[in-house]
Amino acid sequence: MIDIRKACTGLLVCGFLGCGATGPQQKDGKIVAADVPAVVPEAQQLFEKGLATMARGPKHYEKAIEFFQKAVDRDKNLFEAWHNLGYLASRQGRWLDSVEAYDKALSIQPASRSSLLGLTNAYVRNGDPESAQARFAAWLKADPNDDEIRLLYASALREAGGMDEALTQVLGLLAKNSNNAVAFNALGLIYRKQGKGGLAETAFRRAAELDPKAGYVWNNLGLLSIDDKNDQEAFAHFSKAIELDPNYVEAILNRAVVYLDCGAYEQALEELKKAVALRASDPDVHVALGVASRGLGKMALAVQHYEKALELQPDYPPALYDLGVLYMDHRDDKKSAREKLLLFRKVASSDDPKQEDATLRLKMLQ
Amino acid sequence: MRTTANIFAAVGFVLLAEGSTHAAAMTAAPEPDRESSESDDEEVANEPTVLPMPPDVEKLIQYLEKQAVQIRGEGIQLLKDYLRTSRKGPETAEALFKLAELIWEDAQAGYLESMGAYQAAVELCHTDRSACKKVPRQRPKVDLTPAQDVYRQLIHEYPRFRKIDTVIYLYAFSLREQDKGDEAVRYFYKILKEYPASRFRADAWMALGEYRFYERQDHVGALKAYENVAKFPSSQLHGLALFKSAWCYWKMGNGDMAAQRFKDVLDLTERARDRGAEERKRAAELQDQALDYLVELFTEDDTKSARDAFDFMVQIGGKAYSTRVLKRLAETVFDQTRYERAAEAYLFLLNLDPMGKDAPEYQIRVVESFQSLESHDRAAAEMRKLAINYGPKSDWARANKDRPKTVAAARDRAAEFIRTHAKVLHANAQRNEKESKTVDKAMFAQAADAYGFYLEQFEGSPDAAELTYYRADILFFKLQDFRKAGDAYISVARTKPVGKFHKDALLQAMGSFERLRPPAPKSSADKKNRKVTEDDRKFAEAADLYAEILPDDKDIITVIYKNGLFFYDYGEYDEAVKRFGLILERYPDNPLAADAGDHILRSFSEASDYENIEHWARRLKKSKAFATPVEQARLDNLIVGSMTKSAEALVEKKEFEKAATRFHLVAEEYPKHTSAPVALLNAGAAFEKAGRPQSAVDSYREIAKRFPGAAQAPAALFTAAQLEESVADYASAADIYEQISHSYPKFERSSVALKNAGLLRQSLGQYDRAAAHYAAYEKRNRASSDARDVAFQRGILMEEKKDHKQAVVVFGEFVKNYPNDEHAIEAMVRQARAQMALRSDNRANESLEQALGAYKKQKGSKIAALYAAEARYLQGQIKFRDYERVTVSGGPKQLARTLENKANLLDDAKKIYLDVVEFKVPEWATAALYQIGRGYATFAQTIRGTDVPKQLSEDEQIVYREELDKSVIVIEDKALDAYRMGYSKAIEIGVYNEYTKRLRQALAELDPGTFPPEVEIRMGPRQGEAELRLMPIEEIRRD
Repeated sequence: MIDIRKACTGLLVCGFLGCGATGPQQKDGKIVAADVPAVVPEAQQLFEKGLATMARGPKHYEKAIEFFQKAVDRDKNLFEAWHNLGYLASRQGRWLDSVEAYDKALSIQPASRSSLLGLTNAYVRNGDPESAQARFAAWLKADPNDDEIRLLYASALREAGGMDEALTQVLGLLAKNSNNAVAFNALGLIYRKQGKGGLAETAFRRAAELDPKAGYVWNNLGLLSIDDKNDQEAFAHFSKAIELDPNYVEAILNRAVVYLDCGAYEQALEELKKAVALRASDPDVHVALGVASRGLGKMALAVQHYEKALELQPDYPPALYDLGVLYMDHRDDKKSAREKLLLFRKVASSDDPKQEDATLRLKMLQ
Repeated sequence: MRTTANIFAAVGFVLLAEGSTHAAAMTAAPEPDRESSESDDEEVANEPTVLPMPPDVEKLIQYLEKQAVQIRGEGIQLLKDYLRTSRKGPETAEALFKLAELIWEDAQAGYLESMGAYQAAVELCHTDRSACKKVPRQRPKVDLTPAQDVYRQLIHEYPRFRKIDTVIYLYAFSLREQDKGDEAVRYFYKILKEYPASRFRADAWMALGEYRFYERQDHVGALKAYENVAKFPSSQLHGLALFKSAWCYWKMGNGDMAAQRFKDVLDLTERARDRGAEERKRAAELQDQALDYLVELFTEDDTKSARDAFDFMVQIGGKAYSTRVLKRLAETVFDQTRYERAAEAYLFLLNLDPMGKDAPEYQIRVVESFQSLESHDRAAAEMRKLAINYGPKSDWARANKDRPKTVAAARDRAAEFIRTHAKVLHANAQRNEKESKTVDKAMFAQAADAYGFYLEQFEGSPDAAELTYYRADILFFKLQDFRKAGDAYISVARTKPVGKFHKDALLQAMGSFERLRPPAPKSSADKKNRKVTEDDRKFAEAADLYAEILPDDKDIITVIYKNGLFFYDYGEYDEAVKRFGLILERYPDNPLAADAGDHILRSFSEASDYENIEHWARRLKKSKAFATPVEQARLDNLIVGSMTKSAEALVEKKEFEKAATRFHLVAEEYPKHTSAPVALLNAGAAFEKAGRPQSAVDSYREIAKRFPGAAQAPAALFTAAQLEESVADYASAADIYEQISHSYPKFERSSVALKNAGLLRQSLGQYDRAAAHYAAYEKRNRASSDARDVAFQRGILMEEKKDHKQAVVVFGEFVKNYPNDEHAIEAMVRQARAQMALRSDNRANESLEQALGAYKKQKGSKIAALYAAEARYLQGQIKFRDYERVTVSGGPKQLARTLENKANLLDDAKKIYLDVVEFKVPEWATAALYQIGRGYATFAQTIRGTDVPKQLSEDEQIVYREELDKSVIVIEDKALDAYRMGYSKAIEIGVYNEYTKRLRQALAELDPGTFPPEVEIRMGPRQGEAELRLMPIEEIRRD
């Protein structure tokens, strides 16, 4: 784990103020890298050891993190090591840690585009799309033609509820290139979020025309079907997405959701096994596995999955609630149940629909 | 045979001795040849000056000669009259003698006249070979017969006449002249025998010697006769007799005596050096005569060559005289048109003294001789020598460097000769052509060669242009050697100053090279492949030269124009445009200016150089040649066309932004041009390709705005609408589609636009507008297959709008209008749904019955089965509603009846639901099974909720409740069975829909142990976006 306090004093403050949000420098219309002092040799050695260790796979990520952390201890300007710390944190679903590490990297080298992508992704995944927006906006100011960043900016705006601005950004991209399937998909997602199912479908269909192999478009058409309560059709669309891209995790997960909704736990479990193989760092997958296992009466296995989710994201509300319920309803372990539900109540947002139920259950457990 | 020359010589001697006027005229003493090595100054001093006779004197002489002839004629007539009218007497002989003398003179005069004509013919023959035919085969002879008759009369009638020896001599002379040698000899003898004191004895011996030498080849007898002549040292024949005697010795094989005698003759002049003038003159004459005689000897014998003569001279010790002999020999045979021998003699002379002063003249004679012999190759070779061997830088010139005038004269003489020769050849060829009406190419080729040789040798001569032009004409017109002709014409044009031949030469040069050009390529590809040849370049050079040296010529424009065409034909457009441009700039008022302008435009068109077409078309608009409204309009078209083409070229180069701007410019600059809408259309297309869809839409819409009547307008709008759709501006797209539908109802895609507008309005949730569009579409296109789709879509729209009444109407109309459509069953079902929503279950049931009836007729189709299953399911739902509507209340009896009624209705519904399963449509089977379970469950709930009648006792109430509970359990078991069956079936066949979920939830309620309810939090469905690939940094860089 990264010792954030040690690594970057005042980083949280920096995060609130949007460190690096001023964006990179530009010259002659191009983003230019900031001058960074020469690397300390010992830090470079540690960086390289970190790379070698990281390459051995996820089980060695912790060791790799140690090396990168030591590297930045020796050379605080080694933004490459900060970037990798952010990367590994995101692989482990530690979004806050990821945000902090990437932010540090960008404060040293504002022109590191990969760090920007990592940071904004971590912001969004951490439920902070507003910060991602600010970062994107700063970058686009320096490089208005970076369409990929503009699309991500629109996505962040959408997630933050800035629909009109998101729409403006996406339509701007389409005006530049009306064959941009990704932009049409983004447009469909905005319309869907606006409740304009017809327009969303039109946009998704256009995206599918432009990129017939884009599994994510069919996944989104499946979402529209779910919105229309046509799960059967949604199931077909998800299946089409998986057919186009067998490793497309979102569609696999969505098909698992349909199974779970219908209580088809065995089928859900099979789908979730595929998903976890592809994205073990996603705590949602482990939670879903826990639900499916519980549905099949495999309580111990369910506990393992929930615990795994908590391992990836220690205060992950769904895992805390589900585990509390399991301990309470199926294990009669009141203490553990109480512990998890109390923690849930603490970390979950106040408007979480399960807050009331958790409160009720805690009363019952008294 | 003796020649007349000999006779004259003899007569000459006689008459000179006599002192006769007419005899003196016969003794033309030859000019002495002079061996000379003097300088030019000395030459001037010693060369005989032949002064021209003053014209008055010449006239006077001619007059006197005429008078003499007349007087002589009168004298002859007078004497004849006298002799006829007078009696014979002593005076008669005198008169006869005088008459014979006058007649003789008259014959001489006639002879001289004939001889003059003969000589003139020979002269002409030397210069004009064709005139040689007119030279008489035999030289003229003097006709002495009339005089001879008078002499004969004297001899017979007056033998004692005082001048009878003279008469006998002249009579003998005349006989010999008539080839009556034997008879003549008899009279010569008569003089020697009968008149020992006659002054004609030497002459008689001479005549005898000649007779013996030539007629009898009696050299001994001849020698004796000549020796007798030699006995008369005062005789003018003395030297000749010596010479002839030497010859006799030669013939007799006595070389020593012959040589001594010849030498004596030739040395006569030398020996007479110290003597008196008269004697020196006589010696010189004798020497000349001797030499002439020697020449005569050699000329008479065709077996004797010049070398033989030379060897002879050497042998007799007269080498010093050899040149004179040979020169005379050459001249003689040349004059006698014996050209073979002449050529040989002159060549020998040249060989003897190649560096001699007269060598060029000898060489000319050599050439003339070979020409006369029609030995053209040899003549040409010798002519070449003439030009080369005697030119200013020749060895001969160096050897004669102290005679610059001689050298210059030789050069001029050679030039003149060769030039004249060439012209004569040319004239001969022309004459021959005229006479024969055919072109003798060989003759013309000779002339051309001669001109060529002259021009080659006498470069820079004043007449070079003229002769080159002649040569070029021959090459062009007669020999058709156009390449050489063209070169020659151009070389004429290059001479300075510019003269009368230059213009024609350049025109002809162009004509020559033009003929050499292969046919002009027609296609652009062929033009590109066509290489400009050397002939092409020369053509252009001629034309350019024309423009350079004849800038003010009236034909210059034509020439420049032709030159421009030439380059145009071969795809050399830059060069072509230069020429055409020149015409336009310098001669804008010329009629060719318009054509030149056209060709400029065509040139650029061929080269696809549209920018230049535009540029030139704009320039031409200001030109007078294009001032008419028609031309102006044409140029406007060209400008528009070229702007369009250049824009298209930009499209080809993928410079779409620029192309679009250019297309736009057309429409702006020529807003009234018919191409303006097309230009805007193209601008739109280019903007599209440039990735500027909004600008493209603007362009397309501008067409409809500015040119609403343009044929392109509706299509442009349609494209704009599609474009707006493509960039997801659906509202704008709908607006445009509506505009098309409204403004262009006859446009072929107007209905499509209307339909699209409907679809887009529907997507935008603007149902009323969408519905209106669909309705209008149906109205317009009732007969089309598409109309039914739109009609159906309108029904769905009403569903979405939740306008059930309208949905019933629309689907009802659809079923009515399209009963056999594949969507008919679906429409019936949807109509039933709407009717059910309106609580019109009976009508709904009718619609459903109709659907099922239709399905029974059709079958086969999965879609039909799907809706048939739904139809049956909805019938179950209607029955289920009946069941639900039955409320349970009242007393036990009423309750029993009600429950029985309810149970019956449920049973009816169940039967219908079970029917649904038979359709084998999993979704509706699942729904039906769920409904069966739900029916039991609700029935159980109904029973469970039934109040116990108050009138029953407490015990009775307990029993009553227990019985109800028992029945409820049974019914709930039935419900549970139905749910289980439905759920397991749904999972088994993979039905994951709303009913599967409900089944699961129902099971969780009825059997939570087996189907525990799901209360956990878990993820909902996730959105799909392009995957963001996050990567670590693997390299530290500090560039």
